[in-house]
Amino acid sequence: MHLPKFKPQYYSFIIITVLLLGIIACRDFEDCRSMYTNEVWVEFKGENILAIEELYFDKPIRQLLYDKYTQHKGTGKYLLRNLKEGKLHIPLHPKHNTVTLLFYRTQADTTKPANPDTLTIFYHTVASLLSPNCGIQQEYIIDSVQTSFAKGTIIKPSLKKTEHETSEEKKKPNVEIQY
Amino acid sequence: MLKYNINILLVIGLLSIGSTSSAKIKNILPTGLQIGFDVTRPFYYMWYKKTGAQYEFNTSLDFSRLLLEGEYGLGTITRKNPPSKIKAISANIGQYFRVGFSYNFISNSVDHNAAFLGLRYSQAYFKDELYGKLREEIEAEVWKDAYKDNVDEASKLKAHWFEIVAGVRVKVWKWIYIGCTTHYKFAKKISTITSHNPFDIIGWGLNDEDIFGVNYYISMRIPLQPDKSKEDVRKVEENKLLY
Repeated sequence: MHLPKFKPQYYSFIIITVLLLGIIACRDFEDCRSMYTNEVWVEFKGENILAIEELYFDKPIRQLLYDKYTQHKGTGKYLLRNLKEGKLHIPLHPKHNTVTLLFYRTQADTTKPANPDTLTIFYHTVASLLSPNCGIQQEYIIDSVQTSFAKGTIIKPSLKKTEHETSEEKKKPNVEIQY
Repeated sequence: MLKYNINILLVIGLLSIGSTSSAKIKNILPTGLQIGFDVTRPFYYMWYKKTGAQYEFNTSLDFSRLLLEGEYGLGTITRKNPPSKIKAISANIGQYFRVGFSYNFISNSVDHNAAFLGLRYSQAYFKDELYGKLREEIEAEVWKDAYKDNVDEASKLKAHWFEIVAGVRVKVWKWIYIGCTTHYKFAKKISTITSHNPFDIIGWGLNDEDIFGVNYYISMRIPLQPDKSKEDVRKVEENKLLY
């Protein structure tokens, strides 16, 4: 067997190569926490107070999401009293690709029939194996938004849990609505 | 007149090339071809990891200190849930290649041993399949019975990336060599993902941001030129005998 006659500087090269072998990437297959969520964080921007009486899903199933008595779990504030200062979390439906919301504003004259504002979110889902031990997870990605408010903009299309976001991402909503 | 001048210049040019010594031309041509096979890969993935068979072959053209490298691999990476866990099966089946060059830090090695550092460009073509039950992990309990029963997706995808490689190659017997190469893989891009994201990528490994890989291979060297270093040794010995 002919072993190479290495100069001293080549020994450092071999040591680096061997060290690299020791840091081969590995993933924890027992960590079953998904980094994705199905909740869209919607923020409202405008000059005046935006008070909402009731917030309904129209599609895929008509049902109430929040009313004026719904309180924030952490702060105890009423969610819909003034959306200018607050934010809403809208859950997307796992089996569908569209949700439509109806915003019934608080009106001084209750005799008139309320004409709701709408927000429609179009999205798609991407499945992936979390790990062989944990099963399959689903990522929600917003494709577009349509609204009867002045303007709707997508800021962060992918819905991630806050602990998996960068400090910059944590400050931004998924969708911004101007009214 | 201009036409004649161009012809004269061409003749002078050709003559100057003709006068170049054959030794200089030999210096440009490759000295040897190395053909190898990753010996540990099939055993490691089939019997230790139990994720399916994987094979990798490599070739290297020696241009003195510069090594022109090419690698080809194929195989399957299958992941399956343990019996007690939720059903989930992922399979990545395909092939890949790497091309690039390395710089050999060992000069004038009689046995053509090498310690090298290089860069590769890689591409993988694969079919990825995902089947199983979706984890019930939805934040808001607004949607009742909204969980998908089963995920059953299959798609053909393409990925490409770059690698920085470091390795050694040592002669063990006659024209047989053994070697080890470490790869730092980065800047991966997968063609448009529509339905699902692959868990593994053949040739890359786990679908993470950056990743390390290792190859242990046996190769054989086919000389393409008479061995210069051995010729030198022979000449020295002949001279010793003469004097």
